[in-house]
Amino acid sequence: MSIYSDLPDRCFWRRCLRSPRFDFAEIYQPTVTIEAGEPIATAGSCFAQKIGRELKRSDARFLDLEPAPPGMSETTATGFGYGLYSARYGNIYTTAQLLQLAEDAFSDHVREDTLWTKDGAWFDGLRPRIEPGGFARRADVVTARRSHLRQVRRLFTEASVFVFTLGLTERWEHAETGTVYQLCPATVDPAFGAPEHRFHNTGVSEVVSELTRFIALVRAYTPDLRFLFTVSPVPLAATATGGHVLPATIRSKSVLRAAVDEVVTALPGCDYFPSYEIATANPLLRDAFDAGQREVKDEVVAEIMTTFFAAHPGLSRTRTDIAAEEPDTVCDEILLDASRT
Amino acid sequence: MKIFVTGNSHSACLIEAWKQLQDSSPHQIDFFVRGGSGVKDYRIDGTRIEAGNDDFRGYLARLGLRDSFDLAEYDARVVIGAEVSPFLMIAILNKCHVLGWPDPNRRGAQEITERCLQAALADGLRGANGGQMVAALQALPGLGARPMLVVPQPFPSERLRTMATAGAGFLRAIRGRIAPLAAAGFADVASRTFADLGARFLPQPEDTTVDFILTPEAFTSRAKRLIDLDKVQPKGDFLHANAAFGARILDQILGALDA
Repeated sequence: MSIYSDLPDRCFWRRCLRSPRFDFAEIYQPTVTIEAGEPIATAGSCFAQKIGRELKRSDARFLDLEPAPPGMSETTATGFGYGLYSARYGNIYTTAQLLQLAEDAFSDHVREDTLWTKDGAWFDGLRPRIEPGGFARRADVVTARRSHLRQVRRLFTEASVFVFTLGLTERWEHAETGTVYQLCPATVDPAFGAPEHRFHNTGVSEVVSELTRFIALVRAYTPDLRFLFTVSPVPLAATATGGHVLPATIRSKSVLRAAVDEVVTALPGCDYFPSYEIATANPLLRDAFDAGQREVKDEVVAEIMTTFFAAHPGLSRTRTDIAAEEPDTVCDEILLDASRT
Repeated sequence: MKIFVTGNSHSACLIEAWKQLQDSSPHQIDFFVRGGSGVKDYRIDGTRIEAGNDDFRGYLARLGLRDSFDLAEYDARVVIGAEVSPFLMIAILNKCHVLGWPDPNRRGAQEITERCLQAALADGLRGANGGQMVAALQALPGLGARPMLVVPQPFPSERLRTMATAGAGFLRAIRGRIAPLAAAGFADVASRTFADLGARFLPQPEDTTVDFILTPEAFTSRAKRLIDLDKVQPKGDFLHANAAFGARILDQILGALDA
């Protein structure tokens, strides 16, 4: 008798390989369960938009606390940063960004070093792409940010489950203030660059610390809030380390995956959904990405979400159709590509 | 000049005004209208437009109107109402506060920029039945150069000041002193949006407004129902205008067409 003798089939590679769909029915046994009507909020890197889109088509209550103005088309709304997540924060790639957002929201703090200006227009440096053309006045950015932070506070106190997709470990921050930016400021526009902006690549312990502090902070206001984490399967568009982008990608995703594991193991009410594994290490779907090898194919997203919904019997898809006007996922990192072409 | 008019219940005031004028007018105006959102059940074949089903044909017959038109015979086309409405603007202002506008955001409404407001309104106008009808009529072969006018639903009656529940957004805009901005913004966005579609937007004449975004009682009392022009609108109606308003709109249309 071996310790392995009593283990279920899902524990064995060969048996999974013999099972339909690599036994994905067994890949995810949620400890954070979601029921119909439960308020769910999402945030994270651009892959999280795909998860959010699917949750909107379910009977969960997808929180959208900063909806597009009435009449605005989905395509226009996407350009203004509406409808991507539960509030208009744009992509949150790093755990440092997430922690900072929660800290700012609960302290109503507007960071001076995030008020950027160019050609008379003003931009919110923490979500520089939500307002095409920028704001007319400095005061407008501040007012809009405070309004946004108010909704983020609401989000953390109204949600029952917060779904977050970790995307990157590489980040850009202000050397003096510690402010963490969504993107390399100079990449958004050379006018936004500053000597104080520096690159930092986080390790596992930092990600664990940031995520743990984030959870503690939010639970100080909403003790019952549960967290569901995923890791984005989307490779890095570019690395600032100077090394090859492939090992930089694997390093980044490995750090995030390991950190999440530590967090969900240590903290109750936290869970991990293996969308990353289904997309990147699925032996039945070696070709999970589109021609550019960065965008996860729709059918793979469908597979991921089928697995997700199957594991939440209290939740069902209410719409399986694809909207005619479904906008592309907004990935700011594309800016990095654009800067080289 | 032959003019083709399509629209919704807001066509009634124009029909009434036209009835009083048609015998002495050198022009001809034909109406292809339906209450609610406007004409939706229609078919286009070449330059012909016609009612798309028996239900709509019966509706038009009850109004004494034709159900088929060759638009090649018409010098101009007019879309009236059909969701091209200042209510689109107020719906946005009910939910959002525009940065830089003078009204205090006491409700904690979502802050949006004026550019965002304009983008939402432009989308709303394009998506309105009137916007879609403009696009459809403009796509008819060989007619693109002929004038197309768009007449909005009138601002609501000033009567709503006395109503407990209706039109709160309009009254809030007046109290917040943003009514001039709302009126000008609506006209500006509608003008640009319909110009992009090849049409000319005719804003509501200033002398038919009060407080920038309401229509005086003189232009809204005893407004008639499209479905039965012998009957006035129900007592609580504050949306529709009367024959006097229709006469002003008719003047505006003929003036714009230099007819």
